[in-house]
Amino acid sequence: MLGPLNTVVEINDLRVVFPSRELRGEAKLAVDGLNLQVRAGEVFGFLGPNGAGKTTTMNVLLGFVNASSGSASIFGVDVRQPIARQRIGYLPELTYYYKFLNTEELLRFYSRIFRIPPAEREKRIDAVLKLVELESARKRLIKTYSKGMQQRVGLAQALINNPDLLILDEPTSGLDPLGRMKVREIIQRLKEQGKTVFFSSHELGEVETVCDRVAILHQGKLRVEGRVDDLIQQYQCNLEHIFLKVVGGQPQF
Amino acid sequence: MIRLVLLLVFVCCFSLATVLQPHFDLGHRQDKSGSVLAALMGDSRRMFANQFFAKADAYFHKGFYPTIFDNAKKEGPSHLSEEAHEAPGHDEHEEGFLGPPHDWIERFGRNFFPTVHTHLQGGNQREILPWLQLSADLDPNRIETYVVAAYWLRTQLNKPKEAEAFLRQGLRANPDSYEILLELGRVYYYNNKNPSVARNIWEIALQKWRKQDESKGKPDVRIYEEILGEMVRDDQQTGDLQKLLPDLEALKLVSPNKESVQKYIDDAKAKMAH
Amino acid sequence: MNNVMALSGVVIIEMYRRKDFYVLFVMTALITLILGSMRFFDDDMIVRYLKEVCLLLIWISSLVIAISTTARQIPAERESRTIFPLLAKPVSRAQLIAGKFFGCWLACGLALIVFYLFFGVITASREHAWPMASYFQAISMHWIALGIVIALVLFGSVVFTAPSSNATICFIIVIGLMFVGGHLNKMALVPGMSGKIIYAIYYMIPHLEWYDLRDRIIHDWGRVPWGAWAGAILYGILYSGFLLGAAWAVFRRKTLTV
Repeated sequence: MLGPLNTVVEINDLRVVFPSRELRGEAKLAVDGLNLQVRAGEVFGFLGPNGAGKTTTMNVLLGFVNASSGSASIFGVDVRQPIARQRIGYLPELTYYYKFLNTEELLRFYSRIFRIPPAEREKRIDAVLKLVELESARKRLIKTYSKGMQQRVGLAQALINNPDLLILDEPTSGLDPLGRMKVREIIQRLKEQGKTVFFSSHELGEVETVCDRVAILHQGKLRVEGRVDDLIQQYQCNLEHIFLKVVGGQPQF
Repeated sequence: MIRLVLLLVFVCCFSLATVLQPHFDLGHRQDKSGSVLAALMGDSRRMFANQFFAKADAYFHKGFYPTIFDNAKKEGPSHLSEEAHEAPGHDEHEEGFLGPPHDWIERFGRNFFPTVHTHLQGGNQREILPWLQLSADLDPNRIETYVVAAYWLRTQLNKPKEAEAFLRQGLRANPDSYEILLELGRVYYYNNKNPSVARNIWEIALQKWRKQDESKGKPDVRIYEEILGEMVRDDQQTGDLQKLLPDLEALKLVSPNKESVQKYIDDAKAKMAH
Repeated sequence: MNNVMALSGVVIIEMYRRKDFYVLFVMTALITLILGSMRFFDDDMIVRYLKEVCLLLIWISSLVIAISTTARQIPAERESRTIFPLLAKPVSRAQLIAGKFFGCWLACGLALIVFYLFFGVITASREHAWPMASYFQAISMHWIALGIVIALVLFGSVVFTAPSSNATICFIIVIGLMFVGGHLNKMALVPGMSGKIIYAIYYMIPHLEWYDLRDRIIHDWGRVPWGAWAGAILYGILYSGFLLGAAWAVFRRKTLTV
């Protein structure tokens, strides 16, 4: 059930406060009154410096963190309901998976969680393994994989359920140029299939290339939001300079 | 270079140890039984030996045994030992160590562990033997272990040879033990049907008792009475009134049934007169 | 239920790919076989000491497997960050708790079957008898006791972050419950408030000592009345459920940050 203009992700007045761990310490305001919408079929870049609140916002969407106030929904379902995650795929920045399983077993486990019928399960596993080029290593335990292979396992598990919304946290972090190109290709392909991609990244050059819309967060507040082309025209500079202006840094000439 | 130095130091230490070792008299600290367990455990072995003897008692009662939390303390020797000394009857005090349950939890819990006072019978007494063996291995000076094991071996398990061997093992560790000699005599008398050897053994037991206990403030009168009792029985069997009378006289001094003993004395005297 | 069984499956795979179970089983078998080869007073029909040692090792091994396997489930998932891709799927935290519980419990159940089969073979070689009802009750009660222990450890794992401290604390608690728990009512006879507190604790704690049927098996006391057995099973299920509910109540409020 989607909202106006086929809204996939809707965040209303989201506020997240982390209580202090020290006895008389101050609570930390991580997200302050965030309002955001991500529409169906678009590639949305979620930007901000470290500590801006991007990861916290993602954690709320994924149900890892409870909002202090406000609401968030995915496909019209409150994010606190597990069913909200039925149609999403998530790729964390740091990819760690059960080392005692091989990739095939891991994907079978996740596809069972998504209730993919057994007949379709094996086909889906074959397809994603082919996509991420891990077919030859499918029977090897994940603990024997290189970092790059583990990243690809991450991508495979994010795509196993053929998600309508893909949430990617720094998807190209730690990848070589070939790996980054592969990720861009996958994002492009998903976009062509009408999927929605919501990702955070520090690679502003890539964001500018692949994203339809972006939002820039700073100190828990939304500073800028809009179509990439519109923002570039408005600020008369590239996305990196816009970012630096918004967060208060000086562009290096 | 460093490795060479380390190797040299190691060799020197090893050589020094082999040279010095005979100069240190460790004999007084070494366990006489030579058991590996005893050597490893030091003096705590006696504590474990006592525990294993108690374990044998628990096995004798098929697991029905008070824990340290139960109010009633076991008084006197265990049934295991009592039967070995052929003392009659059950200890009524022991039967009640469980007492009525305090609450429904305890009442319900009694379904899951033994709650009936019973003894092993019909040859099942063999089950106590491993614990007695272990107890003896750990504390070879624990005389009761040998006596109890030998009793069950010879009376209920039809293993007089094993009983004798175990008693002799006990004697090697405790050469002055009159209790072990008493039981060894019984093996020869009742199982091996060799009364003359049995008699000799009891005589030695008596001598040892007199040497160790007679001058004590609280001598072990019970054992003395038992030795004399066996000798009296033997005398009655052989009809040797010359030995019987002095044995009965000695027995009368320590027996709680002086009237009965006096009757036997009178009978013997009457026979002698004839 | 689908998610719960899927999660259980992963836990079971983890258990049989780790070495713990095999090491403990081999150790149990070795010690039992060595002790079984000993002859006391030339009598080869002595069996109860062997049953006692074997059952003691089985209990120790099962507790080690249960506690060590369970203690690391959720903390290890958090530490290794595997919990994030998992909870990003349509899995609720309640299902995660339930899945981990059933996985550990079923894994322990499989281990118990292997251990008790070995025990049965050893005792049958001397006693030439298999009191099936007694053995069935012993293994089922043992399994239920492990269920309570696993639920307790799971609760501890959402309270304590380090698996090692959770495992140590739970070991001590479980040993205390088994040896002392059933006797607290005797200690509670002291007058005053302390007696009342001890009695309250006595009623609150799970009575794991009910599930230890070793004395009955070793000394051939026969089976427990079926009503009592059923009552103990029910008690175990309810207590495990209570502990799992408590674990979920704590875990659902935990903030998990990537």
